[in-house]
Amino acid sequence: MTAGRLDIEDLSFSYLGHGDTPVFSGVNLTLAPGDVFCLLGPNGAGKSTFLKCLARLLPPLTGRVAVDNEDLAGLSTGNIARNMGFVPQNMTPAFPFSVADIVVMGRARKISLVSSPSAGDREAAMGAMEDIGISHLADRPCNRLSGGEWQMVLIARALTQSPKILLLDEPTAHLDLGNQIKILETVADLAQTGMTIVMASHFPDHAFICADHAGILRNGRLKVQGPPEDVLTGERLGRAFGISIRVVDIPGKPERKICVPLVNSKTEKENSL
Amino acid sequence: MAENKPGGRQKAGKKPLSPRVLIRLFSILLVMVAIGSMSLGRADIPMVKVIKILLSSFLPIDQDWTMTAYSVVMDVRLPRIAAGILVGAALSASGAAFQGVFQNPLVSPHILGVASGAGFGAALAILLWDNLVIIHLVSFLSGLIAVGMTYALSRVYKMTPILMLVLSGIVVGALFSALTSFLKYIADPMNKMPAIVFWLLGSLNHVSLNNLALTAPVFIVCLGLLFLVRWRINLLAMGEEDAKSLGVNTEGLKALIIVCATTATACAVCISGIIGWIGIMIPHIGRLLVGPDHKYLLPISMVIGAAYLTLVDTIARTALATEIPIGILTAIFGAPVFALLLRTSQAGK
Repeated sequence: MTAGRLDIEDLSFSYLGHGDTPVFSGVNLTLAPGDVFCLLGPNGAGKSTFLKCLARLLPPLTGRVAVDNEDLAGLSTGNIARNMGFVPQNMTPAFPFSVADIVVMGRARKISLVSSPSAGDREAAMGAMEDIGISHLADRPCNRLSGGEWQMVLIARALTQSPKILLLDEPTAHLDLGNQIKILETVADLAQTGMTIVMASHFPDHAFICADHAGILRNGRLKVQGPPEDVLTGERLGRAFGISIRVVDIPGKPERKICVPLVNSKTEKENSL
Repeated sequence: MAENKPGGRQKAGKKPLSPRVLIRLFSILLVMVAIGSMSLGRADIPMVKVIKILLSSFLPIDQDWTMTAYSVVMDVRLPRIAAGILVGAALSASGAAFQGVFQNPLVSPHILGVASGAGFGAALAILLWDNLVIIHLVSFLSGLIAVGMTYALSRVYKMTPILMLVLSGIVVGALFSALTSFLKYIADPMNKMPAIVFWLLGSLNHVSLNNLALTAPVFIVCLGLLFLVRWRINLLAMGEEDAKSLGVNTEGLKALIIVCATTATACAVCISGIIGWIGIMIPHIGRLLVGPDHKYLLPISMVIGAAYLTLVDTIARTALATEIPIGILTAIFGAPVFALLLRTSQAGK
């Protein structure tokens, strides 16, 4: 299958090169095939930058990223795309391409410079759409999709690329609760098939719902990482997001933790007096 | 399999024509427009006779036409119409390609300063030499120099390369426009200045077999390359970073497309002057007909652009006793049509 082992060693990045304050530095992470890693952190912590470094859309300052022990540094753009599929956040195409036309773009690295997608490429795209249940959208122009549908289209496109590792940049941003959960279910399903997934998110609950590993990126460091239940304590999350947070167990089945932000408004302070 | 996708299509009461059929229909229209245009002019020659004259080069056909008619069709009208087809196809295809690469449907093929540069070169050559071949050559070269300057300027600042390229194009375009104005100001107002003005307004009047033979290979190579890589323009149209994440060598692809589109545009400007609006308007019509997929958009823009320019040129040379500069006509037709198009495409969203 497409499974891949991800090794990240001492990764750091800075927009202006050496000497500048790095966006993040000294990041180490190892994921086994089929793992889901949820990267948490406040706005501006560098989660997107981190994912783009993994996909080599930005060149890392130091460190090494390897998939199945193959260092990405020496690979061509096409071979990087064979290893890493990237689902961007907030992308709006300038032209209303149809969903089928967008999903088939995932085959770009397999289509020669002077060719257009073949019937086989179109079938592969259709297959990816069926896998995550959006084949009914195939002919829809992409500017007539809801936020949740658009996100699913981008995931289908990344799957058409058949990468070993799937990188998702805040796949649930701007989505309502139902659509957030649908995306997370899709992520969990993909992990079941053996795909390794790195997902950035704002919401600690997303880690509890579908991740095997979680980490908090804060002040340019990924200090703690491990199973979400161990890593995501109220104290750590509170420090990361600058508010008071309690993490509690929800009673009954399924057994899961949930994160409860404590609201510190003036009225509440008065009530507590 | 691509033709019977489920959903979507059936919803509209009548089935829209498939892109392939539309491209064929417009190709037939182009041939009809071209033959019609060859029969019209100061000497009217019936279409049947035009077809016979054209075919007589390949087939043994009994001669029932005068030598004058033959000469009018083969030496005067054919080169001009061939140039109209090439220029129309080049401006429309370059417009569609630039719009895709710059992810902006309002970009014209002149965006990188090629028209201003070529216009300045032509004005300079008219002022100094007044020889048609030199005018074309200097105009072509200075068009390319202008784009080279645009590119060099955009490299000064490394981030957001596409935006910088467009801004640099505006800067370089403004510089060359000012230089052209200066040349017009110092030119002899009795003969040189009208020549410069007429050239800048655009016309296919100066096309001869000779300069067509020089430019046609350049057109064909550039348009051929654009045609071959046309599906990949879709990838760049999604954004450079996105295309890169799909495994595309964006730098090389972008360079290839920009060089081809620019060279084709410079070639068009150097034989026909500055003909505006086509490069913006025709790709929009193409998108309404076949959608945004460049696999179909590029060919249909080429054939519609070729047919449209041939048609407008026929009007330019037959409507009045003197020839009307074609750039004026394309703007007069283009502006209202484009306004209408914007309304339609807005409603279609």
